[in-house]
Amino acid sequence: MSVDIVVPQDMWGDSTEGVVVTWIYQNGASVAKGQPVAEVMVEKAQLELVAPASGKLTILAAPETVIGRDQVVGRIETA
Amino acid sequence: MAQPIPAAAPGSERTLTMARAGREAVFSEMRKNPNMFVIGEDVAKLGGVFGTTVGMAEEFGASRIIDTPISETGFIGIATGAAMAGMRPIVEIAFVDFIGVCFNQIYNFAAKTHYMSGGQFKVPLTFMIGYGGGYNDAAQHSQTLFATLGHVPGIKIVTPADAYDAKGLMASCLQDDNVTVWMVHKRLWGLGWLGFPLPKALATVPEHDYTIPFGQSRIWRDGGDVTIVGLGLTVHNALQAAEQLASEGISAEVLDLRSVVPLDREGIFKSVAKTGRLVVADEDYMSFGVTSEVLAVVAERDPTVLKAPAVRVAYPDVPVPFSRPMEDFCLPNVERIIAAVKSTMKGKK
Repeated sequence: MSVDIVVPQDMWGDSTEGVVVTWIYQNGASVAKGQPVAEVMVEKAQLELVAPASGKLTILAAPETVIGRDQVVGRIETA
Repeated sequence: MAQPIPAAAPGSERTLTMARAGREAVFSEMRKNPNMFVIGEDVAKLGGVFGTTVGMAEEFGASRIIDTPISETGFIGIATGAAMAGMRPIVEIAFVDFIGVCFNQIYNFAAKTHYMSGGQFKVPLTFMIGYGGGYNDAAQHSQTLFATLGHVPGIKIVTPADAYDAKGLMASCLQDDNVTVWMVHKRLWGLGWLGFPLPKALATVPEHDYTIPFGQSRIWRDGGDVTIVGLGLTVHNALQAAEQLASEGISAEVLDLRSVVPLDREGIFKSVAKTGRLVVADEDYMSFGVTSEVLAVVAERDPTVLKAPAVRVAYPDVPVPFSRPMEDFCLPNVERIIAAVKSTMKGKK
């Protein structure tokens, strides 16, 4: 089974878009639910995306990619 | 409190930005030391202008993460007194330029009290400071000022070039019993709005605590023809320069000072004795600066190891211009380092 990493609706205020700054884990890494996995920037604020499940990480949005609310930026394959 | 995070599985190392790595050391030391606190502008609600204290107000509360008015003299005085009384303050000064406001507290009180009290008072005070230009912030928000601080006895100064060093050097600063300054170039924080992380500034950072000793330089790249000494951002400039020089058959060694004070004089001399040529790259002002001190190491020990005159690539002795083309002209960039190296290679057999 796989669980999408989605940019939460309430992640930031009025801005319509942000950008991926960096992924904390490499593509294919094992991550645990609740761990921060990526840093994203909205205007000048740095925010975190956390793993929604434990499993193997697939990165879909590369660093420096513009992202929006509800966008799927990564995926976690659960065991 | 955050949930305990399971140990990383193989292949799951974390690659951290310097801001996050430095913060991790602060979190860890704050948990161990109830006497440790953070004070400065925008450290609580905002989490630090450069993200140095994100999440700390939530964990440690308002008595340990203290937002202050815009009065560096006041809060550095408070921190110095608190340190003398047995606390372990961490002072966040976003821009090194602001130390001018409060230099009396720093160089007459914080730096000298341990000596002047015959060792009766320690001043375990750590500054975390951003520095550097390259983003049009003009003369009062773009300086580097290593030498301004380094000139005064009693202040240890480190400047990491990647996230691994950021965490280890921060831990060393926080565990030291006198004044330490942890400085990060703004281009290296990895915050996005100051530029996306440089690939080599990101690093695999262990979750466990570790320290990096003061005064221990780091060789990022081995070479035989010339030593390029850098620190902070100029390490990355030097690595790019070394890459290009390699394609032209010049083998450059890149030495990262990591500490300004104490300076790794042994390490500098050892590398230059091996390569016979020296270029020093620093974003601080040229005169009376880090570059001069590095050259002095070789001049005092044995200048005959040099096959060519040493070259300094530093900031010209002018205020940082606002104009981007003028600022770019002044910065110690890759091209200037390459030109400096080539000037040492003339007539090489």
